[in-house]
Amino acid sequence: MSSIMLILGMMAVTWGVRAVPFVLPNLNLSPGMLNFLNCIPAAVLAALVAEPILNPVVNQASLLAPELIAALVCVVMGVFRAPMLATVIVGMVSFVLLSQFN
Amino acid sequence: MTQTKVMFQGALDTLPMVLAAIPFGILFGVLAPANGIASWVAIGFSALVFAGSAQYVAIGLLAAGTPVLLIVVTTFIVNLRHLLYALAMLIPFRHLPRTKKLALSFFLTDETFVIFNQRFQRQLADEHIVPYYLGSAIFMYLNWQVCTWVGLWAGSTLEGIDQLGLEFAMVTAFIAMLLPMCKHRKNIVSAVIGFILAWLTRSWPHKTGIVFSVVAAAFISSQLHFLEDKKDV
Repeated sequence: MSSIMLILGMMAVTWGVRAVPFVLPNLNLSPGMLNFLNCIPAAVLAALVAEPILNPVVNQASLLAPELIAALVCVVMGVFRAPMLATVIVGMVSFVLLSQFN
Repeated sequence: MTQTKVMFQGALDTLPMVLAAIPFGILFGVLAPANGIASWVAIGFSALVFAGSAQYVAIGLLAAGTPVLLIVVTTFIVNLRHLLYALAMLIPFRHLPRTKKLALSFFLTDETFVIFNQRFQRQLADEHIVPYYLGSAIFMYLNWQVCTWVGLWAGSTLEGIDQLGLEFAMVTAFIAMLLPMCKHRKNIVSAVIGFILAWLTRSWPHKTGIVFSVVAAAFISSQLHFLEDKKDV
């Protein structure tokens, strides 16, 4: 039951956000609000990776945790504008390899 | 050009995005049961919610025992960016009846928006807007469904696929999506603050720290007007 509520709730908010400008004909967002919305995606992505990357560092009391190193590999690839798919593959391969030696 | 041809063109232009979505769709199908989520719920997410990153976030939150209401609120925040896309779609969709606009908006993903907008900026006749959009949207949608099913099948059939550390693929995917955003200084600030706050608030109950961190980070960086560069907005 709660799973059905969850699916329908997520559907409602997701479709709702995508549909709202077509429902409210005179939706005018202030520049400040647009600015705020523009800053959200980066914050979401960064906030979600904090724990998976840093938890192992704390648990193992080591800066050499595979999660941290593999994440840094991804960051470096991203800085050099590697295609997204390449970043994911190289990040995963380095994570799996590093885990073997840990 | 006939409507069918335009639709096919929309699908073809979306092919790179579809290819990039394949591993994420499959991984979603693998990870959901690995996190204790029933297959039908995973299928329901992909069929009815149809929002990749929000679906990943939701299984992470579900596994952590987060209450339904907070998952829905988090989904809302994760998907707020779609509001920007929808606002941009007001212009191409302006001549359509409202019910059609509402139906089309269901499929407004990052990928379809980016592909459609590229084409629309160049030139797209009014009567080609809907078929082109649908070509892209349907291709993305069907691909996402099939990948979810393949992932569910792979997770239940291939021994040990859930122990390969595939969860970490989410981290790599999020970093891969994040870095191109960092050409804007605001996004760098927003990401750094979000990352630090999320870590500091990790012990808050029911992942409320994530919601707080995202709102606070986006608010702070949007207030730092000296960060604005000419490329922004």
